[in-house]
Amino acid sequence: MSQSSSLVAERDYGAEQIAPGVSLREVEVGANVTALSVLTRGVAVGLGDGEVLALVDGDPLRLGRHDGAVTAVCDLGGGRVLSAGQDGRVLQFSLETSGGAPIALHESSKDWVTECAHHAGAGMTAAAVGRAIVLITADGVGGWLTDHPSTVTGLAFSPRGDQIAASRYDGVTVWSTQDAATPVELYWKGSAIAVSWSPDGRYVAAATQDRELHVWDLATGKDYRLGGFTSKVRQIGWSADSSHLVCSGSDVIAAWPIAGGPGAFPPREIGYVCAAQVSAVAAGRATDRLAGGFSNGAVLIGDAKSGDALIARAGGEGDGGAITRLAWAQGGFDRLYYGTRDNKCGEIRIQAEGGSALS
Amino acid sequence: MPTALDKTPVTLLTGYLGAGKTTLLNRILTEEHGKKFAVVVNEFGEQGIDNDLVIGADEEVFEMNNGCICCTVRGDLIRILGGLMDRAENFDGILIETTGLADPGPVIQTFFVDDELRDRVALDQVVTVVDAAHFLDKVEESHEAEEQVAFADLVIVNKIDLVGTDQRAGVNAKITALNPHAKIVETSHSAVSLELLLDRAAFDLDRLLSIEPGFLEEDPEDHEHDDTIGSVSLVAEAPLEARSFSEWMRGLVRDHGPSIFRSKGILSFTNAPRRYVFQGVHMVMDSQWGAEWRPDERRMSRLVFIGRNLDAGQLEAGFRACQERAAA
Repeated sequence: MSQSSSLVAERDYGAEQIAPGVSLREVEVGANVTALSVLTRGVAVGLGDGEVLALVDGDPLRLGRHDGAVTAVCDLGGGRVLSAGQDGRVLQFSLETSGGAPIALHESSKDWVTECAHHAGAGMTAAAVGRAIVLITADGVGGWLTDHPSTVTGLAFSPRGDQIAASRYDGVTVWSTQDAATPVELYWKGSAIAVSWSPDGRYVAAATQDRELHVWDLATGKDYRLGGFTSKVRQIGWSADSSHLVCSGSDVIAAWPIAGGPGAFPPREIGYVCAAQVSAVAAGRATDRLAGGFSNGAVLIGDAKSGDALIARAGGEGDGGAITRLAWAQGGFDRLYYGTRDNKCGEIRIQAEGGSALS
Repeated sequence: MPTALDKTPVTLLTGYLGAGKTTLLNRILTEEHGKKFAVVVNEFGEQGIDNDLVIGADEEVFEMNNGCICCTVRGDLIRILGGLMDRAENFDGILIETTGLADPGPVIQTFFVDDELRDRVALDQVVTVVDAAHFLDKVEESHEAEEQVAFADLVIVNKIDLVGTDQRAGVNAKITALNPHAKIVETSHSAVSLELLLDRAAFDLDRLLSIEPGFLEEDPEDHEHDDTIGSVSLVAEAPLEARSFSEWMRGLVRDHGPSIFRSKGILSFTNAPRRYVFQGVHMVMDSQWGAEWRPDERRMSRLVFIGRNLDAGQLEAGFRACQERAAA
């Protein structure tokens, strides 16, 4: 990133030890982690070889598999896990009857399922299949949202679950999940490759192929362009209080303040790790507990206000062990889950007295 | 896991409808090769593909917002190849079959423009299949048929059994006129071996230029064309001044990018122990330091442009200016 008001960017965390107050538990899962979703207890992961498994109390529970890589996993609540894969299937598994046959919620002969999202309140799951979205309710398939100008690359429910945003070429389509109202088109030229909705419902952010973020303020109709990234932004997250937009796309965890308009102020930059790019993010509470995974396998947790960051997992050489997925536990910022390209999945626990960056 | 050094090779197969692309693909895939391929096709045709993994692409072409008017890429390929790289299994190669009408430019540019693809896959070669019986008519009636040959590293002249000696010579002459740097292989019934198509590192410029024995003797003045596709080859004995060369190339692709289909070069820069290799498609360029010059080696800079309406005199003058400054 070009601008920095944070001293932390000067520091090199690459060779330091894991911070005190942090403990880490890690398992080998047999293939690269391509999808991750936190469960009420533990975490569900999808792998590059098609395997879907749950890690509850540390032990891997094999749930089933897709043909080709898993593209998404979601917690459906009630001990149920949903997965989507390159075999065009959306499957539902039960943690109780692991090893039993999954329920196939959708099967496509031609297209990969590129993304899935679930909204507990609306009781609805959405799967991106080629240029369409299939909505799945508890009663089965609830409808198709079609006519996107290109393949749908990302999905995000509004916080209330009454709308769903789909990223595609030339921006984002926002559909009502409740009725057949004409969708709202959020236009920005180019290919949008990921989308995220702010927890307060006001902003929709999309990452683009052109190394930019584009943010639409649904309250005012204004849109904002955030740039300066050194690589494509693959992951976007919002702090729980919607005050910061957190993303990958450079060698620091970038937290863009939203107050005053996205991009009005330069991003806070946290956790520079020598010769590594941010490969995954998990936004935190407000300015604190911003987590970033790096291409060398390091995981850092930082505070945007103080600029402090600590190492929760040490990095290695090269980018074979990149962090691919990162997520905080449901309803808390004391446990962080991650998956790596070199077949590892782990849980990071943070004790309350874990240092200034975590206070 | 693959490291940055062993990228998965990608072969791009182009050619007009009916030239025999699908038959060729199937012949190759059913050989006893013991290798694992992923095949990406633009549309599932009537003729099936004999491979475990065949993925349908959608030909989603879009413009990058990077200011290059001709920088279009294939979003579907970015997504599909990215998805294949997510798989735990490693492929020995990826074959991409384009539709008969597809402009190869956006497909090739995709491999230059996307960071993630550049890290994990390498475009090995562009193979164009032409039908000996219909090629000469096709190039008269369509730009695409000409351009597919102009972009090629390897041209397979198929159905050679259907034409006489004169037509065969005519087809070869036309291909050479469009693209003198492509290797030409003649065949019947799409019978070519797998080795020819895969992992030949045709994009390895040393190799490409070394199989052109007549290359160094070429006179750029011979390559003047009006409104036609052709090539210009430039050679310099004196080292080049890196900054002048870079400024010249940048200006060149800015002003003439749309008409330069491909550019390739191996360059000797002043005080550089290694050769500098680059290749470009329209305005998009990729370059890196190559092997070190051997002590007994003549440090020649070689540069090739293939495109439409290339001004050989202007290119020669620009290239010479980069040398003269180095010599001064």
